[in-house]
Amino acid sequence: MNRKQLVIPLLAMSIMAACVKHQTPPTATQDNPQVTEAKTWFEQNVFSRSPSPNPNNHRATLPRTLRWDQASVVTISGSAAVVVPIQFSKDVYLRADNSGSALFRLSEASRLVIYKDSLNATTYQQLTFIPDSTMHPGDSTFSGIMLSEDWSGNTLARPSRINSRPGRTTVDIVEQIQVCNTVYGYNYSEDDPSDTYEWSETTCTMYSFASAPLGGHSGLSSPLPVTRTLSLAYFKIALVPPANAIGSIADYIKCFSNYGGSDHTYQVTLCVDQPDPGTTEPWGISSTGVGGSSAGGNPVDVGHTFLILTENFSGYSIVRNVGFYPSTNVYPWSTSAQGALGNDDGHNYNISLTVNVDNGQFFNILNYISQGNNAGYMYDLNTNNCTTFALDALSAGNVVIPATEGSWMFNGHGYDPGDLGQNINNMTPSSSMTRNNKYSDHPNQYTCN
Amino acid sequence: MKNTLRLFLLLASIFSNIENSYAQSTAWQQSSHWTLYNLRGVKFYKVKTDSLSFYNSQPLNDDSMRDFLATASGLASEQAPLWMGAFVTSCLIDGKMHKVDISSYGTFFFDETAKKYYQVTQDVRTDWLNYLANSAGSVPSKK
Repeated sequence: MNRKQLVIPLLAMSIMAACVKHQTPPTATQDNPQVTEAKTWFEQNVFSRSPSPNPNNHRATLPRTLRWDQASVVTISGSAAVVVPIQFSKDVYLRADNSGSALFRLSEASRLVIYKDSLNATTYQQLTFIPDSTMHPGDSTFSGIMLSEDWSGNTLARPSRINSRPGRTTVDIVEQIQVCNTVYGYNYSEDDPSDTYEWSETTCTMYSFASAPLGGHSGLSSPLPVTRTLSLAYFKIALVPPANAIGSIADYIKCFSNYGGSDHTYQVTLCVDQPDPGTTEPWGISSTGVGGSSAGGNPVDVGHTFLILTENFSGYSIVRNVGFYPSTNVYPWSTSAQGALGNDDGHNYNISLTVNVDNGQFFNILNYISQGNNAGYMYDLNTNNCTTFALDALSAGNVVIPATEGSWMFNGHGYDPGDLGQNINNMTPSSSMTRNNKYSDHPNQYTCN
Repeated sequence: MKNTLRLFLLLASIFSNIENSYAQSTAWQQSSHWTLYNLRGVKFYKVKTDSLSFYNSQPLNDDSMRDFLATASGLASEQAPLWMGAFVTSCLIDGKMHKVDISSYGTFFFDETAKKYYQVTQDVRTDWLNYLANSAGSVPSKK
């Protein structure tokens, strides 16, 4: 997205923003011994030991500080819990799919909670509260989604809905639930409006009811007292969709359902568009000058690898094509760019491999694919290109395809469509696989609400 | 004198660029009969303009294409990005058929007839690629 496009609405937003405090936060109790004890415990046991931030969680990669001076003590299930506001260094705004057109400041929606679990051991969660569209300025009760993560941004429990209806990207299954969350954010600096940028995170995770009971994790049975410490300001702007071809991957794949048994069957097709079909050549050479001059003979085409995801049931087929691309132009001398998922339903290929998978494998592959649009998730021609991404997605579903790395100019090397195409051509497909050496149409099929 | 010459060259360069951009934009605004082809797995750059009629196609909306191309600007051919596939299209400009390869990612495209690279602006990329992808998926390969 064009940064300049963001500056004007965000400037307007900063003027129009109506700060509506729907609750009076509990009095800060910095000198409270419980706060002091919690601070000591957190710094010794968590802060100094946390691993690197989860790269798929943009919020976890942002500089932030704990506002111990504004900490408060609430009672959760009869026990005291210390709630600490989290201050992000820049103005960061976010919303969820079901937030409507409102934006919220991340600092005002984030809390660290330190409490005793059912075994009386001290533990903590970082909570992010994202109001839904049914919550209005002045409401005394929070309504929305609560994300529960550790300090590194790893999910601790499935997102909880608090007084909120299910989002449209949630698929409920009897034994398991897959939850996709897309959080859109805007970093905005009043001092330097040109430093404004947009980001989004999509994470899809499978949760088991047995291991993650509804309502939270490890004894935080009721987050409602924490919601009363929130002081949320509402911002209304016209939202511009994320700048990628598949704007919302959660929306793109929402028709798929996760059913075991034989009623629903699942297939993933690995499609390879080799630069020079039938060879391992990693670069296609044009003799007609496409590559840069009328003289031709330039390396132009690196080919492409993408996936066709199919679910069959009751005579219907849900089909979605997805490929991983750079979001901006890349060159032999400049190989990296923000990643972006693309709809490849019209893309050519010359060889493919269709793999029958079960529902668990299929959804693990979907979960892997879901990160492709995330801010900071980079395309790199050598280390994370379309072929790498497709192979890794299949690997997440326990489908391993023999793959050979190739090498190319500018000391480039890695997985590539040329080699992968020949790997597929030369392999002996297992009983669950079908190889096809001819192109056939592969349009997306099936729509759902 | 030297500075005056530099200023003159700078202004000449600016006016030249403005004129080129205007000319390019104007040319695309005069385009019509936009058509999208299904090449059935054949490499996009191996099909010549006069062979496109052998492939199945569907018309694209001229107004939509002209809107996308309203801010198109030239791209130095020496700085051609890498191709990862393309939507193969054609259009008529001044009565002449142009084969136009549109990259399946990013913002660039190549007019094979004029042998020139262009790019659209980043802010139309999403709609541009979605429009082409949705259209391409509905062009059957069987004629």
